[in-house]
Amino acid sequence: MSDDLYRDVILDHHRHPRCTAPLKHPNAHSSGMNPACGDEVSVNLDIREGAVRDIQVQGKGCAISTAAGSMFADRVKGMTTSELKALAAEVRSMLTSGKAPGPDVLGDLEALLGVSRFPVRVKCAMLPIATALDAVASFEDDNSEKAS
Amino acid sequence: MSATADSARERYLSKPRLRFPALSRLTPSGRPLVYLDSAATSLRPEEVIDAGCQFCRMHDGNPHRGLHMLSQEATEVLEETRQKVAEWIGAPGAKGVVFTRNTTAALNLVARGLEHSLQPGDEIVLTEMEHHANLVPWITLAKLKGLKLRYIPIDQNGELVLGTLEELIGPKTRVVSVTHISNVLGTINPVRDIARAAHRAGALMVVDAAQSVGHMPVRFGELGADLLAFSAHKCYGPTGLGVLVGKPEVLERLDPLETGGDMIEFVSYEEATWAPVPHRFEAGTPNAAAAAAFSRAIDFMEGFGLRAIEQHGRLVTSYALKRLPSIPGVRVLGPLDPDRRGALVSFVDPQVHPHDLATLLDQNGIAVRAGHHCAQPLHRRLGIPASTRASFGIYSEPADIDALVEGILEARKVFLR
Repeated sequence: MSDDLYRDVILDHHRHPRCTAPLKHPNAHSSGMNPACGDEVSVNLDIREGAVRDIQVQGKGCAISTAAGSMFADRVKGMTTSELKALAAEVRSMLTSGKAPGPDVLGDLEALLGVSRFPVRVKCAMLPIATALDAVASFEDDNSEKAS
Repeated sequence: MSATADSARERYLSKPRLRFPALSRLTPSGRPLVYLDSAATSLRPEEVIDAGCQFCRMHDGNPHRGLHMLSQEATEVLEETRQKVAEWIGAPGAKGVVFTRNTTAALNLVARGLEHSLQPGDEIVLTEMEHHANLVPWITLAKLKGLKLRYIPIDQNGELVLGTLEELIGPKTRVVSVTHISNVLGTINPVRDIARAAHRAGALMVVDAAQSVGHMPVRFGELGADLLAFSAHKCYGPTGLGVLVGKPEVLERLDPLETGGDMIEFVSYEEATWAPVPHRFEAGTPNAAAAAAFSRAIDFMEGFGLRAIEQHGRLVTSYALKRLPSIPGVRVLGPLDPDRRGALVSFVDPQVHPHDLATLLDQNGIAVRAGHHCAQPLHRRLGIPASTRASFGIYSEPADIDALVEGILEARKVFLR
């Protein structure tokens, strides 16, 4: 059962999280916290012309939360912000339904499928992803204000 | 009674575990449940569950309202339990026992009940090790009234630095509110000494006794407290029932937090006057079934004696304090002397995050608490985001600690593979 939750790819991202280096030109930021456990995460993005040029995810959290942040960051680099939002929705849907989408939609993130069987841990996996969504939302709010 | 029945009964009494139905469960892993989360809620023995059920089955009227048999019986159950709690905890009579939902509700009642008697600039003294239940009501009140919060610091052992009392408690102090036993560090605080300092300054002494009542002998009068809060569900009783113990003259100074049915004396369309203490704090239909069950929980605890329960908790705690640090890297929080702590041990494993550890332990049938245990500021003060806590009850055994240690080692294997 634990093998199902802590798959090798999750443990690998937990031990060696990707996208932790500070960004040269971050223009979107958010930080999040899981009030149930005190885990904290901070997300910085460099968004240009509607696409994620770079992303940094940093935090103190459990293996599930650290790995989810690392895998998500790895996957969204180069995506448009709409693609990022769609990806986040796919992950959330998998975690709540227990069903993985078709092949190649999620990449490494599909390893989080096992989390769906541990409802209390869904929040751990979603913390960095929800924080990234929040950063994108506040970026878009700011820029729509500037535009109007 | 036959000899066989006699020996069966003796075995039942000498083996507290057999009296807790939840401990007979097998977990999905096929292993028996190892319950190490008694500081969150103790399990309930069969006789307590039965007492609550029997009330619901046969005596389930609404107390204080009806003139009929069931209502009168419900009133008797509630008021007899109040009297019993008063004697058990050493309250100054049944008038000094207010039933609430839980400890949190009792402490909110204290904080909000004092709202009108506090002025901007007044000071409230707490400690760095408080549970959110004895923190957030005061933070909220301080914001509302412009009060100043001051904190008794902790030292490296997780014990209060009493040398600071003289500086922290002064003429502006109105309330000193302190946990009796820290739900994270396990530290038993010297409430009597702190109460003396509070009273010298003319301040009220409030005690959060959620982790001490039911685990050691607690006598309200001997602690020097003016108000003391605890929950039935942490001492073998049901959820949904808490107690605020108070000196009646101090309770008189509190405004009721909730108003409505049963807490009044006289009501017109324009005015209402309050019922006497303690009923003025118990608006609405009370949890009489829980009172019936808690009455039996007191009998259950007294069957062993609180001194014996304390000694048993200390035995298991000592064993945990010996075994856990034998795992390389594991660091135990709080005092290392078992005589200075309650029946719980929190620890940090640098290799496995508490959430991962708790999930992996659960898969082996071991229930622990992981996270900040409703004490975020304390964890920040300790420089850790979270910890894992094992906490004990009368049913806990050294073998549970062996299972925990083995479970931690197995969890590490998952992370090292």
